[in-house]
Amino acid sequence: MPQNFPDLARIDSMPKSFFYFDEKKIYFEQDMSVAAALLCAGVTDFRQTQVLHKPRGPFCMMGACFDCLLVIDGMVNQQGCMRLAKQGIKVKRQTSDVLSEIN
Amino acid sequence: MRTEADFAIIGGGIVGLSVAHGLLKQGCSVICIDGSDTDFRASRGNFGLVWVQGKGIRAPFYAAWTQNAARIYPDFVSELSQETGVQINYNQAGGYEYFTDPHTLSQRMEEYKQLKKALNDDYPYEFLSSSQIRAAEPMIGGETIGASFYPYDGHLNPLQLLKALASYCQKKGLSHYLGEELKTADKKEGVFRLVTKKGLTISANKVVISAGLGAKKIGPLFGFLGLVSPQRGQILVTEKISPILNRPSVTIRQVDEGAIQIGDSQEQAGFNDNETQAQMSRIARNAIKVMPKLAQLRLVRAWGSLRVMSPDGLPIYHQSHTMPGAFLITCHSGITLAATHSTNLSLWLTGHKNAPELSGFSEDRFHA
Amino acid sequence: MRVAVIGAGPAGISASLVLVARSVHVTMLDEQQSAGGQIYRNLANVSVDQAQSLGSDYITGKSLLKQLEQAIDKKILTRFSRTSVWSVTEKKEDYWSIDGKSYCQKFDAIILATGSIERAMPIDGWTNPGVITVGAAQILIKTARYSPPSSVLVGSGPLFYLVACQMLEMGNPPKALLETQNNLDLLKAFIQLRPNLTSLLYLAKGLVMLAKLRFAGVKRIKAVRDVRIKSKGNAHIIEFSKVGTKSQIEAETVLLHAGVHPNIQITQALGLKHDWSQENHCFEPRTDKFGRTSLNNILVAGDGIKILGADAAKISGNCAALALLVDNGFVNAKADLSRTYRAHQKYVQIHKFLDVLYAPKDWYSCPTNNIVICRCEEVTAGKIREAVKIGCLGPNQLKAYSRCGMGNCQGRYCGNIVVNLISEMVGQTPEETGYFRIRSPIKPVSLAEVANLETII
Repeated sequence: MPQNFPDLARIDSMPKSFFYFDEKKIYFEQDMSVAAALLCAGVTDFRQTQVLHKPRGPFCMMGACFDCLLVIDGMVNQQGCMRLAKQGIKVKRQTSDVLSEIN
Repeated sequence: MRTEADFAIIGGGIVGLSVAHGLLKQGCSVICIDGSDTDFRASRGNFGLVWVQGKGIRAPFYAAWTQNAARIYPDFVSELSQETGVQINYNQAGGYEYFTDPHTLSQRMEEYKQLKKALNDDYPYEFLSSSQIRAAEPMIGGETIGASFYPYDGHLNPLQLLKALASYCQKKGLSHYLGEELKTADKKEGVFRLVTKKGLTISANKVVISAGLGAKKIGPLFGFLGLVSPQRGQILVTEKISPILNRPSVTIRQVDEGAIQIGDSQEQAGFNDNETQAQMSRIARNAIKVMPKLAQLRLVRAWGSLRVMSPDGLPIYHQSHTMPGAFLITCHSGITLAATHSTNLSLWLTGHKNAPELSGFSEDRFHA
Repeated sequence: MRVAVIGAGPAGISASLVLVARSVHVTMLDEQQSAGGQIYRNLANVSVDQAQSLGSDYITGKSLLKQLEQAIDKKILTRFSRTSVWSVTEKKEDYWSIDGKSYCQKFDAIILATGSIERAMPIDGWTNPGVITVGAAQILIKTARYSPPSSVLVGSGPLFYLVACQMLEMGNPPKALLETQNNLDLLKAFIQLRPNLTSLLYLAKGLVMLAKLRFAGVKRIKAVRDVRIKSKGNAHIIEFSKVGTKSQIEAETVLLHAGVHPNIQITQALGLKHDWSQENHCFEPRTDKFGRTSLNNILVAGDGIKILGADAAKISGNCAALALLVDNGFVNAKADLSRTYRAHQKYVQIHKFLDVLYAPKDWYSCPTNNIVICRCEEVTAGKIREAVKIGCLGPNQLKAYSRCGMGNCQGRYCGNIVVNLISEMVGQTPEETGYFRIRSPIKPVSLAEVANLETII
């Protein structure tokens, strides 16, 4: 159930589109970035930094800070705020050793 | 900060600071006059290799000098790290040169064979076949047909090395002046007097010029030819990934914090250290030829830097004939030679009895 | 003449429309999904209701976007969206990436309209998940109809109050506003204000916003300093002090804002000269009054030169386009140019006022040693100060010694803070300190794309 949609009372139907964040289903409406959809669902921790292993999430939401990096469909270092949410994509939290996923 | 010392070093890059390191250890007092933040500074723009193979093929004495430099490197670095707490991350496990063309490969095999002979068999290289190099480095593929290997090659973090040297020298009493540019120099009654554009006056018994490309302008003030010229190299730096390269090669290495660094260019571009798209594309294509999986990595930054080249590519170590006590030290391999510049070259500067034989590196070779 | 306009915000759109009106072909390159930049973000797709709640300035963008669509339909303007420009050269070659492929095209002229970036506010906890900028919150409102619940805003500036009002309109007002400016700032700002009609209208709009917030009972705490954010998941405790007294407040989301400054990545990568703005505490590209740079046929427009807001940016876009036309034989554009420039100057006074009122504060511009300054490489102020002590007269040596500025964002957020720190420690002006050497690619691009570049003739 999507959280924090203030217009819930106004829309006719529940958003049917979703993507996966690790194992969770994240619902979204159109024209939304992956980062926006995750924030709407209360997810703020997107990745782990490489040096000090600290949790990070979106900061600027406009592609300048590079803090909202996620693994999307196997591709690492994807800026969540610059990628549109699409039905069925597999998004993963980017841990510091996930970067060995080049194949 | 002192204004009088045994030695004044003009240029505080890797060469100047390595030499200062050695002089301070000998108990000399040292001043360093250093330039500004935006100077070309090859010390900030190099590949970070401590590298022997491929050098001195036509000048065995240079190959020997370099080989010795690599052998004494581990002690040099561990002492520096211990004294300053700076992580230099020096790794000496050997290095490769990758080949995609059989003609180039067989030429190199012949060159190393001759060089080994000239060095009385003291040159422990190997050649790896196509399958051997793929086994040793899983990222290798594509058009790679083989590789040369030299066991004393290695790499480190050159910026941390620079920082460690600066930190160490200052701790041991170096007076390090930043943002200065030499205006006049003269020698009176055996003492050199240097005045900078900002009006700083320094007196020293001996002067070392280790100003990189600045030697062209500063050298003649002390009676040197100062035959240095810029050669541009460009480098690509990728996003950080977990360790995937076991050893560095002369064109591709994985740096300590995870990025892959790729370089492979030599251009005559004058005093222009801009990156160019043409070279970036060329370097990327060549890298993908030997390591196809690099293609998916993202380039985060590219840059160009100017190597300090002498006419024959060898270092210049020369004491001025017209102003004895003034020394010119320049090379394009300041990182590799850092340990020997500290340990051995500094003995030449102080006239120590154990000073190395360096006549092959003097400016006199350019008069022929 | 083929012109590239980089950035589809108010300045970029305006410049493009002026050019196509004179039958000059424009290629617009923009990294967002739809045009509008940040100020008119997603304007084409929002409902009328929602547009109303975002304020009248937002709606005025509609007509601009409509004209843009018409130009695209008539095929006199080509727009590449979701396009990341990663290099612009002196020779006016543009390199960009779209859908995993990179292209290069040489143009006759380039107008850079890449807008602004929010100033970094490096306080304890600013890197914690759930701490975002006020601009980020606005993007969430505009694109996801989402206003973060139980938010506390920290900082100051026009955008700060605008977003607080937008959140209010969405039925989800901020829990509190922790404002960093004080009454002395207000006094200083008013003393040097020489009001014109534009300033007065702007001030009136501001007062209306403040009145709305007061009427809705939004808590405003002014003159706060030494803010620290302690986070546990989505629960944040914000500690602060006001006039020596310590307090704290809880929040689910923390929104920071310390003003905006020009996005200078491309102008720096081109090697153009930049001047330090005393008013806005940032580097601005050096241009003539119409936006011309020292490079022939390369101009800058909008907030990318100086922060004067969206309305001024539109006029600035017009100026740059007209100046370009005048320089390339369109003599009858000269009269338009003078007239347009005069219109542009109306906005300078109010922004001088705002710059003084909302000037960045020392307590976060020169942070304590434990604060992370370079978010990308996790470099603290302490590490930076240590490196400067060893010997850095400028950011490039600092970068070498500390890695600060080497990460993905290439100095966008730490740049101005680093300049402040070095200037203060060394005792020199920001101009003497200088800025990071910015290199291409200014946005990451894959090696495969760089290797297989396609050149468009």
